[in-house]
Amino acid sequence: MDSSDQIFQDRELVGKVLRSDTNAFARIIKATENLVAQILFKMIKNEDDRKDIAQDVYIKAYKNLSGFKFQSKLSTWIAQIAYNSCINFYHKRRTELYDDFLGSREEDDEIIRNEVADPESSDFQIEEEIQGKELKKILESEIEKLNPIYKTLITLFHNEELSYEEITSITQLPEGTVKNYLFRARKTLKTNLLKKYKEGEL
Amino acid sequence: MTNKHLSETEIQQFCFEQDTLGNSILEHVSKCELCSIKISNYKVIDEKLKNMKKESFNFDLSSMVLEQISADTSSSKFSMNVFFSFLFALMAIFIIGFAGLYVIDILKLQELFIDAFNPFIVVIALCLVIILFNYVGEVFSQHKKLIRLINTL
Repeated sequence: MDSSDQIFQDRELVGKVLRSDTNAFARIIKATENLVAQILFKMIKNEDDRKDIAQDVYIKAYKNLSGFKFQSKLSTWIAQIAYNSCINFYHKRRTELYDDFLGSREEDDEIIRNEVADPESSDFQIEEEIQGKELKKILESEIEKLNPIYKTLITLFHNEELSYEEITSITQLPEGTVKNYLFRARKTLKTNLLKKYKEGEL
Repeated sequence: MTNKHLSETEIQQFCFEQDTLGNSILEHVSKCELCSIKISNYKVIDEKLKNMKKESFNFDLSSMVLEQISADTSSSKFSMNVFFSFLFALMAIFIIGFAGLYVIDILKLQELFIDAFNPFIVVIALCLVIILFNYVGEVFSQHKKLIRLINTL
């Protein structure tokens, strides 16, 4: 479905919800909950918190639906509410999202500095060395170690296959920052995979 | 063609934003084994990430949200109803009370009313009864809705 068809369908559904058709809102939830789940699973560890935030996201969406201007897809707008709710959750809990984040950025910078210093560093072909299924498992555990924002960006770009524009709209981060974070996250993933192999863990 | 190996940024650009790179870089990659290996590693990671299992909620989110919306709507309707009943009763007290006093004054009936049967007290009591009935009615309808909801689960 191209984006104009999607926006047309969004308009129709939103119109129905504003005319008090709750079934239309149920359809909106069904159509967008997978994207919301992807964000919440990457940003929030605790299952109960995820459940509360997921409900809160849609209550907020319902209450503010009349203010939705169709400047993006409805799913993007709801994903933006989900992402902001997660950020607010960290602010309220005063959780160390940002401290962790800064820490991981320094580590990444170190990795990148090393790479720049040694551009011919020996990469070997990952796929040949690590069997497919095992690689998937290791990659999953390495993703879990990333900062929540990196995890979310990686998931939105690679798993959900969203464009930079859509990711920018969801996270409200400048496009350059999104690209920079993605670069660091991928680099960290690749380096950790190779490091694990060299340390003989694989 | 450039003989310089690609930087990490260029390697990732080659994998994910190829259209932003110049021809000399593309040509280098086609002939350089080291850069090709680095690119293939990112492509493997990308492919694995694309095929990774998508997370989903293990509860019925739409039912939970719709229940909450319906509860919020009913509770706001409920408070509005109680508010309007109260407002209506208050207006009724003033209108009927002043009308009553006017009638009593015109007909010179003051001596018929002892303090306990003051028309104001009678009107206030009536209004309180109206508000109470309204409140009980609302609570009862809420209760019925809740029972219906529980039965559907």
